[in-house]
Amino acid sequence: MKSSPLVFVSWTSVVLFASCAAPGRREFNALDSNRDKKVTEAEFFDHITSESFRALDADHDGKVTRKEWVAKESTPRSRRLFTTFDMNHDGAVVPAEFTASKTKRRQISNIFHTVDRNHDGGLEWNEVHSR
Amino acid sequence: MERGALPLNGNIDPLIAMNIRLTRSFLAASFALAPLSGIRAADHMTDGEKAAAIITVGAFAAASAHARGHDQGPDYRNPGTSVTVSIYNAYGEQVPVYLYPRNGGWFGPRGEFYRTIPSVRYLSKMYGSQRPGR
Repeated sequence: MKSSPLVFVSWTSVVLFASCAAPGRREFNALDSNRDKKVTEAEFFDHITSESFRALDADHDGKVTRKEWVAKESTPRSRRLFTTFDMNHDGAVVPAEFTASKTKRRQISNIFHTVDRNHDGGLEWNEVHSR
Repeated sequence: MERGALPLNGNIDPLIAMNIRLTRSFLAASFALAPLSGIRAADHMTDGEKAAAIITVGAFAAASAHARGHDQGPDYRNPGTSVTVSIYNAYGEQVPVYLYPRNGGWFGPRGEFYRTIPSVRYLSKMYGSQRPGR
């Protein structure tokens, strides 16, 4: 089937638009898990922790053993964190244990509030993509 | 991979990569100095979480830099496009607060973004006689 020039121009426009999209847009969309065009602090926290947990969980069984942890966490400080997070001392960290730390929540909250410039508790693309 | 290096692949936007490098330096210094300050005695973020946070904040810094280059923010040098809201200051004098329309919303004098024009009461708390939180 012969494609019309109009179709070609349309696809070219789409590709050009995608390649010229503002930097950071992809990361914003990745953070906006419920697609309401607003990134809340909870979404930010969930994204950061779940990405990290997924990277640590090499065999994808939903828990991180000490061996998996040591393989990914290179610094002595972060290796010691395994003992802190393994609250029931069963030799593995599950997502609930991984995200339970109040200190971690506060640290990630501090990072979120450096980006949330109008301090309304949410990030919108217009707020991120502004001078 | 080098210790502390970010898991970046070759497909990343150069502007994002530059901002990630800058953000990484800034946050690495913050993480290193935080225990000394006594404000945050414990550090419970893993290296992976720090890398993810740095990539995200760096990408947002790149978005902000992109907006500067494409006039997406308020133009403070051209007050003709602004909307003026009058509020009262601590001395009871009427003073103007300028709001600049951009990106389907409004920017305030301190660069804060509003989806709709904020109320006089809110602006009075921000810039007038009333303190925020009262």
